[in-house]
Amino acid sequence: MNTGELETELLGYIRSEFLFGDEDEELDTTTPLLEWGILDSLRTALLLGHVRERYGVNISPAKVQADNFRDVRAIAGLVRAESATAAAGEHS
Amino acid sequence: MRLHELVIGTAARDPDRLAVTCGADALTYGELDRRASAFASVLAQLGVGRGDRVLLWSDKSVHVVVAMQAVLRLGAAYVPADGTAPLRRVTALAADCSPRVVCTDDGRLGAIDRELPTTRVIGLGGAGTHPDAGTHPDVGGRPDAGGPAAEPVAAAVHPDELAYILYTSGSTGAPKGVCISHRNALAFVRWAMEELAVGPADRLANHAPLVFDLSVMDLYAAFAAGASVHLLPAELAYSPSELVRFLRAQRITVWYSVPSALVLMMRHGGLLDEPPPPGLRAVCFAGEPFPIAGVRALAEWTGARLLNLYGPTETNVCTFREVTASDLERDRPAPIGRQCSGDTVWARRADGGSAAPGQEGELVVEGPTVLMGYWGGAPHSGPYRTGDIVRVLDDGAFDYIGRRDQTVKVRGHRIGLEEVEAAIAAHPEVADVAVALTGDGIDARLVAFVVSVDGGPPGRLALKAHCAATLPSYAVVDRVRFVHELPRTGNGKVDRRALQQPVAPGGNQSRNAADTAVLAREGSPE
Repeated sequence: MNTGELETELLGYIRSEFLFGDEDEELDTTTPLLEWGILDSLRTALLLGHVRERYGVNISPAKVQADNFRDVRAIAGLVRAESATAAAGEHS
Repeated sequence: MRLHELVIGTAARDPDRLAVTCGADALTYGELDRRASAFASVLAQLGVGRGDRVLLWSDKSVHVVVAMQAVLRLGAAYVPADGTAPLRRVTALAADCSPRVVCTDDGRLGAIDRELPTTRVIGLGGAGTHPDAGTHPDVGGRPDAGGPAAEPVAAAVHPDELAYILYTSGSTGAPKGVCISHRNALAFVRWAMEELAVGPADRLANHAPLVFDLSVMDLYAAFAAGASVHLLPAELAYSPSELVRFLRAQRITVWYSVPSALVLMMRHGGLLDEPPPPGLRAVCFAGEPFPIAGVRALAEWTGARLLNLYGPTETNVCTFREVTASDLERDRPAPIGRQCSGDTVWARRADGGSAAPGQEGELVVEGPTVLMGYWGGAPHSGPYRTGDIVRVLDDGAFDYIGRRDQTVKVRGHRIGLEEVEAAIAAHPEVADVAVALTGDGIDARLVAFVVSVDGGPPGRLALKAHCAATLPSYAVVDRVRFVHELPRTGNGKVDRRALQQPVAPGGNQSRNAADTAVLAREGSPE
């Protein structure tokens, strides 16, 4: 899966789970999720669970920082980076 | 006895005992005591003294615990603000309680320093730890951290003086500062310590944010008993599996949180997949009704005591119930139980009489835990009316029924719907708004029904963003619905019943019911 596809999937998840599916036109990959109140602690927890189940990627607690969750682009980058780290760990 | 004397007393008896941890940081009672005195001298040099307030805008850390103790030792009161609170909320709190000093995490210094040009702002850094931490250009001396322990600073405040202010959502549309004295807090802490038989070997979890009255028990029951308290670092609070790992890795013996956190740990964190940690002997919950299925699951999983604690911020914990086998067989949340903490609690009927078994009334509390008053308001005296409607059971225990005003609970946080409505109404493109809660527990959602001004509705996300700039994250509306008009009763008031169907089991159903009521007004289904 490339980054664009991952971003699209994450956008879809956030729309359907956190925004009741009714604000498609406004949400994009640079919408500030924390600043605009779209993600809070409960939702971040649910999103992390989704990422673990859907992509098999465990985000380490050290990476759970506001900067990594500021928008969908950042989250997608984090998921890819963490998945690469995990893969490197397995091969070493 | 004053609240800060708990640490001082334990430190004198047992300085090497573990007091507090947060992530990789840990302090013994001796270290906590020394750092609190050191940081107190920093604050004293900035002019903090008896009767002052100090605002602490911070993530959880051992440093903020040091700062809390330091503030109390000067006879001042601390005002916690959560690290996730938006800057505008923090500046609003500061405007309300006019703190002598604001302490914040070093990373937030710049932002708030610009907003509060006339207030001293200092970094918590490693409060009281190393010479550069907690200093301020105006401070000549440096806190003495490594040297021999000086006599602990301890101002001679009266137990009836202010210890801390917790801001809570009010019915007037603005947050209200609940003023708690040393005596108020200690009455509850002593009760908790005895009821839970907290001893030096105990390890208490601190899950709730420090702005939340739940956190008072964790900290001070531990300090009173010489036990340790383990703060949940903010970044772990986001992950159910990390919460479960925290419970196990910290070998927690007494857990206290909102039910939502336990439900999250059971549903998404695998809490029940492994046997309970061997030392776990009490699981306490408070802040919102706990769906009984979740309590049953906990009871099957652990032999630990399960305690339902009740009390608004204004009264600390004033009733409790240890969950019984027959409570688990009911199809509703466990009762909130009977009076505790030295309080007298009764249910006041509409005619003013005291409700007998089988009758309903508003829960009223009188006694040592009842607040001093709201910051800026008149001192409180006499019984406190909670606004919570209860039914008296045959054994005299109280069963929570609901609210008599427009206050709701979202994951244990109290939210005045008027406060959220006021925030949204401040948006220039909003003509009218009503907010309703649908669902309960971790499925609770706030829905705003918005009538926009001529010229078209503002974006839904823009309205969320507008809320998020002033309200704490749990009070940001989940959903925005645009309607032509709000449903009104005959006398012109917003018909909240039409918006807010009774919260039946199944959050989706009630949400749909509320939607349907309003869709009828919109004229056409979506």
